[in-house]
Amino acid sequence: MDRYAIETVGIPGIELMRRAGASAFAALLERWPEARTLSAICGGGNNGGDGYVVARLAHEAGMDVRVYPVAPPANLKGDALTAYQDYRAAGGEILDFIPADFEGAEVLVDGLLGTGLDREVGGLYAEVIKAVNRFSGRVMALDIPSGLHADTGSALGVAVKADLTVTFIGLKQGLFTGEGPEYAGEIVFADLGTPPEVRYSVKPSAMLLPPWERGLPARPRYAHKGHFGHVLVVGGDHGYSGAARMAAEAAARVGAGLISIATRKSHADSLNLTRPELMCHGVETAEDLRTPLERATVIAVGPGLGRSEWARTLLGAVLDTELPIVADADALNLLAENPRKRDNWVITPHPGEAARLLESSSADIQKDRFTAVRRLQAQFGGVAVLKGSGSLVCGLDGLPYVCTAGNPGMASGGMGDVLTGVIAGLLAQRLDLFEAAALGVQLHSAAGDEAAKTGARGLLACDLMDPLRRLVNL
Amino acid sequence: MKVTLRDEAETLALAGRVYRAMPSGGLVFLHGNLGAGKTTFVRGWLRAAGFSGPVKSPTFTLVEEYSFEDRVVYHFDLYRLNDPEELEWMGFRDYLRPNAVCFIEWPERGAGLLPRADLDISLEIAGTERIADIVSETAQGQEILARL
Repeated sequence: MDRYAIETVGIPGIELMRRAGASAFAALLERWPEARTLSAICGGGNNGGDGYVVARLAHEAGMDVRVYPVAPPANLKGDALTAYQDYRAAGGEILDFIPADFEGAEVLVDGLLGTGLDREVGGLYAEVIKAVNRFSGRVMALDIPSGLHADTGSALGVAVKADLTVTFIGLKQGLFTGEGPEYAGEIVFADLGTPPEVRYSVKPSAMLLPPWERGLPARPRYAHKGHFGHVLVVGGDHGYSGAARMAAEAAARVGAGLISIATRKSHADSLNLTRPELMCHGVETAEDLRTPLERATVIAVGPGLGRSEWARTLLGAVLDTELPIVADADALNLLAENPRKRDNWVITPHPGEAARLLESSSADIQKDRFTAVRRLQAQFGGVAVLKGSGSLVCGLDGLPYVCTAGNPGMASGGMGDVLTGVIAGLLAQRLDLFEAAALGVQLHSAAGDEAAKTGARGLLACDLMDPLRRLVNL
Repeated sequence: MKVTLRDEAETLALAGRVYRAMPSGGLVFLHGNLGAGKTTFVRGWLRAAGFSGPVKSPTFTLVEEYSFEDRVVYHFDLYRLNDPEELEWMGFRDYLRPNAVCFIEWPERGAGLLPRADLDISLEIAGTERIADIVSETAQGQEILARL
């Protein structure tokens, strides 16, 4: 995109660099208007050049500025060299040592490494990044936190933890999933005055899901419950009945017309005591499941299912139907043992389940979540949702969508079961497979954020039920 | 014109008939609640036009584009539009060209800024069936209806 802006649109590279520095400095002033002291760490490439522009603007604004060139200025070339010379011509000083810590400044500007990075950060650069992360003040990263891989969102050994990242011309997918958001902090996008065609010059590698602002369409007045489908939740082995119950309740709260649960006989009668709207069937054999399957329009399979012979039998019966399915939890672990492909299902693994499905490790999945979700979709068909910070949704076209909503309070038991129910409930209301999965992920995260307003710690899956209902009617 | 569609195949077939009755440009509104078959209709139309790839509902992108030799097809979903003014910002008028076919789901969200449709199609859910009601608001639309 930078090249397109320079070569095709005809904006000179140094002009883009000056605009980048200016928009970053403006973002800095907006966040921290009181700041009087600023340190900038500049590497040897264009990211360092952006840093020199910010340093010059800060110097001209009368701030106390310290610049630490991690690469010798004598080795600078092209636009970065020009930006350095501009800074010096404006009267800016440089320091020729790297301090053990950066205390003393209020804001630290990270212009060390940019987006081209694709191998482990080592030596002096790694030491500087560690020193930045010990710094107690505010950190602003230019374009991307140094050390973060722009495509995968994983740290290449070590990466800068920024409070603010001002990213230029195009959004980098790595800022939004896995470890990316943790390193990036608040993300500000600056198009640097480039026309939209610059962003159309490359095919997007991923899309952002917009925030949840509007619920489902109002219901027609003549509607009856048959309009909104019948979700059957299959799961809840001994000791795990709550998972099936939460999935069922979530499906009900997002508007499915009827909800049934097929679960162990021993707790089928007690499972709906506090939620009598749910219909519970005790099933022990595939035959027991036949009638509930005939009445359902959508199946959610997996919550609390376990991996017993009972679980295998029920999953087999579910997979023999033609109905749309949401498969989660142990349904996915069983699927990993006997992989199969299906067009009309949504699979919703967390990184651990994804690792089993792809015969990989969770660490490897997390290293490149975009590739992982595309592989899940390609191997298992339908729509794949890879849960975790920055959940990803990938359908038939192979383009992952990133959800930036959600919070760490949602890392608690039952949240996945609720998501399964939400997606099944949307499918029951005739959304298509991809819409149900993507809107379901958004809705679930937005409900989690609403429920976490009183505190992330201690957030329970059932706390999402009221927000789900409110948001789906927004 | 009112047509009862007994299943999805009949929705696809009706869309194919509309494709064959249409010239290379036009504006088509699609009304109907969730699951009424708006995107299915567009898929049927695109299949009849020879497009075999996946047809995705433009829920998140606002518009999906399909290019053919003699025309471009734009499929809009305005449900998530907050204000009809947003149509201006996205340069909506540029899409309404002679050799462009525009399908618009939830046109009521763009009320006031959209021109009159050649075909205004409502899909209503009636049990497992759908009732399609097609009216035209332009001379070109009348010709299409006559050919249907």
